[in-house]
Amino acid sequence: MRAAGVLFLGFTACLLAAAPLARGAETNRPVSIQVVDAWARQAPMMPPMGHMHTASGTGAVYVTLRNGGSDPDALLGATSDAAEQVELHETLREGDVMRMRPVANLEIPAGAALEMKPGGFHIMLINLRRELRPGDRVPVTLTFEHAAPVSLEVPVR
Amino acid sequence: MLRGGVVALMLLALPCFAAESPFRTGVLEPPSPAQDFTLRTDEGKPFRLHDWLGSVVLLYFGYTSCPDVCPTTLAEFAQVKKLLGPAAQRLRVALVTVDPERDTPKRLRIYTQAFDSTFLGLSGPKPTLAQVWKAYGIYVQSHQVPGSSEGYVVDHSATTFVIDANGLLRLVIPFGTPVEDIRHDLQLLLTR
Repeated sequence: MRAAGVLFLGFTACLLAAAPLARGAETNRPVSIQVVDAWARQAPMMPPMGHMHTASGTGAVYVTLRNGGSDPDALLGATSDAAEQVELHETLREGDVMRMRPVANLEIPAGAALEMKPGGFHIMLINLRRELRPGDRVPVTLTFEHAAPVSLEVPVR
Repeated sequence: MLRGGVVALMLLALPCFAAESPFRTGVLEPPSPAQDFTLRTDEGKPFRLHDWLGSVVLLYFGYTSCPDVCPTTLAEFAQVKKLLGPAAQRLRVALVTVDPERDTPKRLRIYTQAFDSTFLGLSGPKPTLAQVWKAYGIYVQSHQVPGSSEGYVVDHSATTFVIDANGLLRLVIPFGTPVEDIRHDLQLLLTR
């Protein structure tokens, strides 16, 4: 219980440290992107398939970002050394059918939150370089249209 | 005449009783026998669905390159299994691939085992799989993603079928169903 509390505090501190008050590149007004929540789904490494020659896997990271500024911002992309490629994706639901599609960017309106969750928006880790085990941490850097990049150590669960 | 009227009244009343379902997920009424099939296990052995008669079966359709919906579903089933405790000894979970081109038995095995050592990945020749998808009304469509490193994604029905110990289709669990509701319904089926 205590260990969990310490972990949680550690994560919160990490989030606070990673929530900078950046200067907007174009507007020169302060933009504030706050990371409300961030986690990654466990993902195994699997044998090569098709044209690939190395083991790999796919993973998903879910973050909830709050724009505390007075101007809209947008999440443009993400990078992580845990995967060869990182893309922004959306899962669309039509009846019982789920369709996953890449998206170019995700808008974060002023004073509002962008919530990623299973079956919705997610950051997709393609061609994982290592397994994501529950309890691990994945480094992820988010890049924005206006706010400065935000680096996170995202817990795997 | 009077008797006929009473019977008619009873018939009218029946759907009301049926509406008082003890289940929280989608109920298939009346229960019909689950279509049997033979596929390959993730160890490459033949597997018949009927081999699992006597167990409650969760039948899900997905693929191993799926990062969002499929691992969410399997992680939730693993959670449900833990919550059920000893009752889960009669619970079986199978993932039938919708991506036979990429999902080798070995990949399916590593993928399903990451969530629970008893979960089974099923694959087979595409025509055989296509028959199984059709029998369960599963929509499967590969979709090229231009500019994405992933190559293609597979659009697919993300519902799970629940088959009871007698081999009858009983429930349908849509994606996003709360874990507690799934646990509740499986507990009912497992303890009957």
